[in-house]
Amino acid sequence: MRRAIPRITRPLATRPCCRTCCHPTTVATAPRHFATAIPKKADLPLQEVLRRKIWGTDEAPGAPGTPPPAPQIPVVEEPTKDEEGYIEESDGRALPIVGLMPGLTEWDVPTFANILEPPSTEAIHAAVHRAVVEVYTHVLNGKPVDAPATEGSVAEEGFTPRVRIEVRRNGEAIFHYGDTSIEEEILRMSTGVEGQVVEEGVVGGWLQEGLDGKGWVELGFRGDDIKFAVYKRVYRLTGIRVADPDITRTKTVADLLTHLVAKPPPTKLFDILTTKTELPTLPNVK
Amino acid sequence: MPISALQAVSKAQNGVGAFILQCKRMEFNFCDWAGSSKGMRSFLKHSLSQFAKENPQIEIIVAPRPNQTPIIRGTYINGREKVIPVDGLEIQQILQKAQLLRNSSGAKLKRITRPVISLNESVRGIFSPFHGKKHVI
Repeated sequence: MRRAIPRITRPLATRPCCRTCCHPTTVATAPRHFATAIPKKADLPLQEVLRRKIWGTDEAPGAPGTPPPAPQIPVVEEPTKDEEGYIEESDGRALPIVGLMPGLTEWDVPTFANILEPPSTEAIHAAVHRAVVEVYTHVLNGKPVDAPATEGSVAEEGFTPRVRIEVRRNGEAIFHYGDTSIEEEILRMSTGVEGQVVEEGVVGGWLQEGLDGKGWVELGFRGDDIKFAVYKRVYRLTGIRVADPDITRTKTVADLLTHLVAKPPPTKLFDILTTKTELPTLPNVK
Repeated sequence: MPISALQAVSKAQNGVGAFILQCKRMEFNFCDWAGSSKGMRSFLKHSLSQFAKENPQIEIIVAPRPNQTPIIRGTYINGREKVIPVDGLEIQQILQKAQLLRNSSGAKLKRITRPVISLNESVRGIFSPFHGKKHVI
């Protein structure tokens, strides 16, 4: 790299002399050495020299061998506990607890469907049947579809399984209650139950029809309000959520069941060939 | 001096006296997961039984071959094998390929340049310039 100012290579004269006129000069006016390099001490590296120059002090931080500075934690003043109505929080996440019922722990948040275990296929079918019967009973009696829930145990709920739903080819559905008291009981007790789907032994033949995909599962929803009321009831009984687009596309009870019941895992073709075809009986097939 | 007759041995031709199918074994490989084996799986479920009944002299082997192209492998009496990939084919197309393998021998495919292939000698004899009508210049 060429320097802008040539370096002085020839030795200086014994007597200081001005370069322009070469006249001898006094010591007071002796020319100073001129160089473009930064004057540095021999014992300090260039990095340290630059660090001191940047910080503007000889005790610049970040020098090798110096310990790092201690982190400064801001001190936050805690609110006083003498305020009226103040409740000290007990949440392990240091979050204020809002809206919890007294007696509940931080994890017991009541939900709309408090179902802990996933129900079986038969239980899902029974829940859907119950929801359909309840909703359509309200519709047939001119009551609002989504009737407000009333508190109360319905441990002896065995009325909806006795109702038989007949779906005709023209789409018409007929609900066979068998007895007017059943219909009245359903209207009276069809609310406020979570998790209690069906009692064993009270299920009618409609369960097998539903598992086969025939009969009452071919019932079509007459309107969106009925459909969403049925799903709401099913969700409360089973705890299984269905996506909104899937609910929108649902037309019949069978469509709803496809989203509730998990499909069986696909079987291997080899198993199908050995069990459901006559290939194993042929002598030339291995 | 006794004259002994030439001993003529008849040439064995497959199909003249007896017919032996050249294809002795057919192996069907498929994949349970891949979409290219869809037609093959349908063929195995619906059409293979009938094909096996029609060809009792062929040993049929069905074996899954995961993550591989579905193939039909034919083994012949001369020891050679012929493999046909059937990925993406439908049931009828796979059946045609199976019949193709069944009907073929293990010989290599040759390009036939002559219109007639025969074992019999020429009836009129092979041309010779020294016999027949002389050419006059």
